Amino acid sequence: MATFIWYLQGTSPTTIDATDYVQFAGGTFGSAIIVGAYQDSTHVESSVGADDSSGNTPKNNKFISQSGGTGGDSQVDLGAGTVDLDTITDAGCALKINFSHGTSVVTTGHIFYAYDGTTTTAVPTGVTFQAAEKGDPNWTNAEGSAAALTITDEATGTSHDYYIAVSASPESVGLKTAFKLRDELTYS
Amino acid sequence: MKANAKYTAAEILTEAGMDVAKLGKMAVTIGGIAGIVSPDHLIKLPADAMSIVVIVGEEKATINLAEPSDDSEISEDAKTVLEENGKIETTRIEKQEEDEAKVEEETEKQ
Repeated sequence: MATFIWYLQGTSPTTIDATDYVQFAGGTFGSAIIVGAYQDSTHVESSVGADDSSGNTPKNNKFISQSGGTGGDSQVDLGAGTVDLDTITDAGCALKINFSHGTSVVTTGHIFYAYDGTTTTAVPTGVTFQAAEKGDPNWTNAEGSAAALTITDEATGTSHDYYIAVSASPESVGLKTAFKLRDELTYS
Repeated sequence: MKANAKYTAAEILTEAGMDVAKLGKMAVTIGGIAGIVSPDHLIKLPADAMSIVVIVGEEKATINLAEPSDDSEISEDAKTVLEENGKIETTRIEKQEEDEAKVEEETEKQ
């Protein structure tokens, strides 16, 4: 049986359940982000609004630039200043997605993106979204399935871990909810 | 080669003693991933993999993998491929931003 488990990484990982929200916020849980700026913290919010990741010091990957780093690399702030995106470690990526299967499988055609929550080809409403797989030198503006981040094919195994940096910025004032993250892969 | 690391198809074929020039000409399967035709195809080896099987046409080889590092690794060749892909994405975003700026400019004129 195939199983997906999403985690927000931190001193301990917080499991992101199907009904939970990944909250991109200002400096603290529930705080606003200035329009045009990127989040200063990332959290797991339960369906009833609780901060599920409060005790786990969750990781944050703040977009700084698309090509301002070494040799045109993108830049990210992990909380201790700006660094090249490709220096991020597995543990430094905010998201970890585990795909497991009872028998060994390969994963191919793997993509990750944000959409409006209704139509996978539609970009999220009022949000700029960036994503990168661990080791990628540049952010992907992964909005809608056509612009998705491509995740590397993985050779045969029963458990596959994917480490993904994510960052989001509001394009206007107000809470953004037409904004979902989606992971698609083929296993065989 | 190590588990929990990313390589190009060309590197894996070379390690297996296979002819890289056969990519795109013969059926190539690496670590169970079939239909590989490009030397730049990136493949991540899972953290718990002990070995990978490489099949080119009727030839078959097994590569035993070294113990993985705690943090996943990326070979220099794979990094070069990622750099090229990153430049393509950056160019796409710059073009998109230019197009959006043009639309805004046109809207303002109207």
